[in-house]
Amino acid sequence: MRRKDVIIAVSLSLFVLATSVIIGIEEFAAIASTEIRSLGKSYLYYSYNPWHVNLTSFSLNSVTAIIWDYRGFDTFYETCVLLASIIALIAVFRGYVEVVGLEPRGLSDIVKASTKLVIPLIVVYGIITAVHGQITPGGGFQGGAIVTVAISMAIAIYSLEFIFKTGITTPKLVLLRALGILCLVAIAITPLILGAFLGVKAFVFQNMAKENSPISMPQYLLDRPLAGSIFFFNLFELLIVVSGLSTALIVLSLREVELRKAFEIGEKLE
Amino acid sequence: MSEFVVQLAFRASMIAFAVNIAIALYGVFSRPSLVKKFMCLLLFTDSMNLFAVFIGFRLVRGVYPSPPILSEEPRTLEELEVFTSIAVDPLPQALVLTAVVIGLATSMFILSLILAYYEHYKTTNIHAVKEVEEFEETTK
Repeated sequence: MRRKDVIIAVSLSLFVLATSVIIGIEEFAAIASTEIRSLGKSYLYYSYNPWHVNLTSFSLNSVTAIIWDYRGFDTFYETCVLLASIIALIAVFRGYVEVVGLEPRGLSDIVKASTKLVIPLIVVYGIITAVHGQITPGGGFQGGAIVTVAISMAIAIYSLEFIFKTGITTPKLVLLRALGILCLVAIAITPLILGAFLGVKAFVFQNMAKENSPISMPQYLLDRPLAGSIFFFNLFELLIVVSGLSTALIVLSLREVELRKAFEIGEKLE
Repeated sequence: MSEFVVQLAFRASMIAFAVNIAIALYGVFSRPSLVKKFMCLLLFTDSMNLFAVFIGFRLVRGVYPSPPILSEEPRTLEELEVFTSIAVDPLPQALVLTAVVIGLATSMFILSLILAYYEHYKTTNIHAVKEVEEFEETTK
């Protein structure tokens, strides 16, 4: 047992030393070069470029443009992975029941009062991060994660009982998530349906007009860049992430009594 | 001046990255508690994501490198070309965002399995469980 620990310690310190040397010597450094890859350069150049209308996505934020326009399918499947993991989580806690009437615990009144002030601010900030994803740093995932912080605060400070009383229950959240992903699919195939009606060529996940297809999502809302479908994708992604992560949070913070009951019922189902 | 600051910050964070990886691997290999293993696994994922972001980093002579976000709509093509010449690579950042979300999804599932394990055995120490020890004996 002791020899094993020594071997691990020595090999790990050697690893740190080797990595530091590779990074420290300037001639070998493959990272922090003055030039970036041409693919990255072209993404930077075309993400907001009104002079190349057929290649641009009208998004000031290049990262969001890559995520929802150039690599839209990738992100869609990633959302599906998030969906599948929540389903797996619910399958592990398959006997899950909400026990109401447990003694409501929580922190002191001062903490509760200050949380009451902070939670709306967090929610508003999260929503802004999501819907301004094409203009400022942010996007659907980031905004969703921020809004989920508000729910986790409410669970920690007001107790789970309070969350159930406000009407946020797992079946409702699961429904919201399904609705979000349906809306995502609907936005993705909207250009296809429009193209079928107008009798022109169109693609799934199409955002701006391409050389052989004139279908285009709205570029501007009033005077602000809307970046076409990117805005809608971010909005529905917010919905999916908030409902998915809240489901996970509620299930993972079940009280002892509920947890025991859940596993008892689950073992009976086997 | 700006180049020196950027270089220094970059080197320091890369060494911190190497130390983080070492701590994470140590935790995954030799801590008996599943919770500690899980925490170290998360540390490992995040360090790797940080490394991927660093690959997209760019050293610009004379000025601080710009994030891949235009602060305002460019009025001329030259403005856009200047931005392209000083901004960092957006592609690793986009890929890391994907990795973070998938990592979050799988780690939530792992956490639920650890919770079930704890509920069954009343411990998260893998050496304190008889079945695990027997399994290790048979595979030796």
